[in-house]
Amino acid sequence: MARAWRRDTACGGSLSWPPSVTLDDATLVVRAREGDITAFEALVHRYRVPVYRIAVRILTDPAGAADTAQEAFITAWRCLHNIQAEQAFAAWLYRIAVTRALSAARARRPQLPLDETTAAPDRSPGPEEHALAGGLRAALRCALNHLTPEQRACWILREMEGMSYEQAATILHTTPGAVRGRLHRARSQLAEELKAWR
Amino acid sequence: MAVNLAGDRLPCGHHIDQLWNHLATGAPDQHAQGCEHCQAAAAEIRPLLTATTELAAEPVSPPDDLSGRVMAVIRARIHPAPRIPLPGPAGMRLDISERAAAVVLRAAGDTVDGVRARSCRLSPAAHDTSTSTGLQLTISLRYGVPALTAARAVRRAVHAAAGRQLGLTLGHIDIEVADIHLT
Repeated sequence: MARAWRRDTACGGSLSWPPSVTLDDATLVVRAREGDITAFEALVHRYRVPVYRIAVRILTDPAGAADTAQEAFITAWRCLHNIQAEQAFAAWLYRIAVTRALSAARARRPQLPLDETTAAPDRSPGPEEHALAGGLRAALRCALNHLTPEQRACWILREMEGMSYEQAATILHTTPGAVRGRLHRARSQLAEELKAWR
Repeated sequence: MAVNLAGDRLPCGHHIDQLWNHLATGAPDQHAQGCEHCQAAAAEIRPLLTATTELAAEPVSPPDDLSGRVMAVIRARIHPAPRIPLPGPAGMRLDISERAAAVVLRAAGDTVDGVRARSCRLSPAAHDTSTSTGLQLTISLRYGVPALTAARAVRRAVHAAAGRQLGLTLGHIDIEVADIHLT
């Protein structure tokens, strides 16, 4: 996921800056914490795609996701001194981004009377809706919107970002067991909504 | 056959997660191949798995200006760093921010093979141009690089850069190996 960040610019003498090596997250975090903006810029560059991708998948709104990603990075900059383990920067950053995305999703979503432990009502799109939506992927996008934001976040982190139950639980401030439970309910509901495609 | 996908297991005892993983990876699942419960569950799961895989593979690109927007806000909010006076003609000041000095010194540390400079702190005496300045540097060292050799090279590199680029004379250069990296 992490990508090389290279931009060799001569800066006098025999040195070049930024250095032409790919620095690890921990090194960049320590430097950024001491006020090295260039080091933080490298972290933003490295993680802008996954942070935005997670936000846009939770929110399904590109403009809102861009704002969420921006706020997540700015919060990360402000709170860099709170990181206990610099090498765990990615999980810490994703946690900030997911928390903000979930808050935004809850704020704009009408409060439903059901919680995620109760059965969801039948909101399966009909064949016409499927045809209009234009395919299986569009049908899944539609179905994901019917999940609670927490279920959707679990599905995105585990099934689309490929995280383990433990990683998803860390990011979602919960337990692996709770992630597993939300995923099972999400899977059941999503499969039901895609039954026209069997 | 009605299938309950919300639980852990199917009526045959097979884990739904396991079935999902087998379908996702295409790995053979001998039990599932001969089990009507698993076959019914697989029929329900397959479209969801296909759609999820396809959706996950869709490229997603953030707006081109996302990094720029973030960094503009951060640059606007950053607090000024303490300044270090640099030697120069009497009566005229030349200062450098501690942050900028640290950038120069870390970059010098990075030139040593196998070294990544991390924390860089100049001692308070840096604010007195009449004395040599102490430096506390933490580094990450590549596995296999001898610490003593690397430390000697780092001291030489940062001492030279401090003198050449900043006009600072470094005295004590304390180095802590905070981490080892493998590549």
